[in-house]
Amino acid sequence: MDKVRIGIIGFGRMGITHYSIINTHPDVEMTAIADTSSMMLNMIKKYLPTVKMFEDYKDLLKSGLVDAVIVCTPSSMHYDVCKMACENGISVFCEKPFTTDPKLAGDLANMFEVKGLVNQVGYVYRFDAVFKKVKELLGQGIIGKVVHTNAQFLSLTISKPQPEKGWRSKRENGGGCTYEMGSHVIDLMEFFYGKPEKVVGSMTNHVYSEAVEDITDVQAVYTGGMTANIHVNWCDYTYRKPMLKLDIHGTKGKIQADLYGYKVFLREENKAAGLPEGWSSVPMNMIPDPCPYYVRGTSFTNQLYAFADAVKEAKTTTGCSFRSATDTQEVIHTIFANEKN
Amino acid sequence: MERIDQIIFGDNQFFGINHRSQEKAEEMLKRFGNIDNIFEVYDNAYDCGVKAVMLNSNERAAAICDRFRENKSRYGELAWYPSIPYPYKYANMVNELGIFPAISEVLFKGNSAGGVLSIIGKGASALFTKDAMKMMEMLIDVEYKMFRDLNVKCLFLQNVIADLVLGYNIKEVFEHYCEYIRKKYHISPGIITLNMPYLISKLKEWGIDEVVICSSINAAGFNMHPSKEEYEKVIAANDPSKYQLMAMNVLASGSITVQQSFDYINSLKLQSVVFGASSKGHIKSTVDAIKLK
Repeated sequence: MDKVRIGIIGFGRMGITHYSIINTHPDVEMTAIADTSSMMLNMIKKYLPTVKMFEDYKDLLKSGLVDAVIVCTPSSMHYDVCKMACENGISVFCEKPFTTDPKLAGDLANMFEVKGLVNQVGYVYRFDAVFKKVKELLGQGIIGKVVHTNAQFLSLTISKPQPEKGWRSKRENGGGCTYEMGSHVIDLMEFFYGKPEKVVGSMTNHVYSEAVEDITDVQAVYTGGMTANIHVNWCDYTYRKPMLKLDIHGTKGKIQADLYGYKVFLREENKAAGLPEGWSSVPMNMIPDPCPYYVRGTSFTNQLYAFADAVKEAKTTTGCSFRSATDTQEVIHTIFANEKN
Repeated sequence: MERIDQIIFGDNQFFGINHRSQEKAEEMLKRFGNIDNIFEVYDNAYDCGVKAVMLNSNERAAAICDRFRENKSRYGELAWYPSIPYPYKYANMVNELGIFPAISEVLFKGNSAGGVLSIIGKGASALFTKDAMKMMEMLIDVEYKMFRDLNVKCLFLQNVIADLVLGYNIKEVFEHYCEYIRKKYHISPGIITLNMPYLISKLKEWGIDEVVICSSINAAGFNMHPSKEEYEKVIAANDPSKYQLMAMNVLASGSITVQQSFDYINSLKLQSVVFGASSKGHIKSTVDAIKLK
């Protein structure tokens, strides 16, 4: 493949950002955009004359103009768009949450695996410098056997009662703190520990939203008996900026990590890793985090470049696969099912 | 092209921006919630020899500008290097309303000036589709308003927007932006970027020069994309009559010492440094340490 020809389906805020990022990739040619807003289509037609515009994503997928698509439609459309892309031999980067039904998520994972097409979901924290480093430290067994993880994702996304019309008020569009934020944490756990063996319990609660939850708690057990508590709150007025933080307890020490950096506590010095007994701390800006072109954060760029590289070289992506995202979807649906109990 | 000031006092400390610690950011936000505390710092900076400031057009900047205007005699010919827009305002509005309604809101809410009214007459949607450049001019004017009657030397396009647009590789946007700033305001166009080598390669390709470029440059290599080495190559080869280079984030949010920072910064061929600090001691030691080639 000389250049990877990429199209974008759904040209809202995420689509606009993704275009800017991936258009800088030297081996990518942007060839098509589909969106239902004629205003948007007309505006970009004038300034991006080499990109073909479509009002209907189906026409884009049938056009023969793309090797891969970036899907940024509402989540409720993801299944139909991804399925048709697969049928047309097109690789897919799909925004999160992957689908709104674990059965459909699993079907998509199967389809793309059978066809050998690159498939990735935008669980972007897998590309965050701090969390990548945490995964590396866990892999090296720095803190011994991991026994427990406490993960929190807190933000002030919702600060007042929500209009019923907004997309954030509808679960089928990916609204609610579990889809918007919890899905990222559940995916990070999957990234570190694999698929959970069991969701032991969960609770959701409301602060301002009516149709969706504002607070979610989940308890799950992972391979080897590692237990995890996940707590998400998107109405936390003490967090001006979203904060994802982890506390990982192991037999030989502890790792604390958040978006600003990480700290390791070791009960005994680890000479091989160059880590002393007690605390050592590394701020985010001291972790090497190369990024070819920065738009919204290094992780956003690196996840899309990983996707484009995988398509170009016909290899598996280093990002979150449809299979992994299906596991996350299953956890989310267990949480929603528990609400009814 | 007019030579820019070598030392510029930035504003991150006032608005709770700290790349290293949220706690530190919150502490600063609390302290500088009181505008008197902001002006205490400006006074210190001015007394330490700082004669130029950079200020982003965020929701609190208007009050700061007012106070500077009211006290012109105190601050003499302080030079201004504002940046527009405040990206988070747009990000939140776009999230809540969608892109076009958000732009309408910014352009038309509370801006009943004649020019804007005539455009409402034409219909906002026609404007969006037919003339995005005109829309950009209007957005610049709305944002620039708060800096009126100040001694502005250069207007920067803020990096969140600049780098987003740059990725689209549309010459016309940057050409039009630069020309508009020069013709309408008679000042130098500036661009803040976290991708300085890429920006310069594009500006050269497009034949756009006489631009001030502000980017993260620090010994730690923080926020220098694609790499510190690439920055060093571009800086060494740069012709300052075409692109004046301003370093920001020189202390990498405090992860390196002032000495380390400026041993590095002073070794490069840079025209200007923008820095922020909140104590008189830090301001003075930083001003003393800046010795550009």
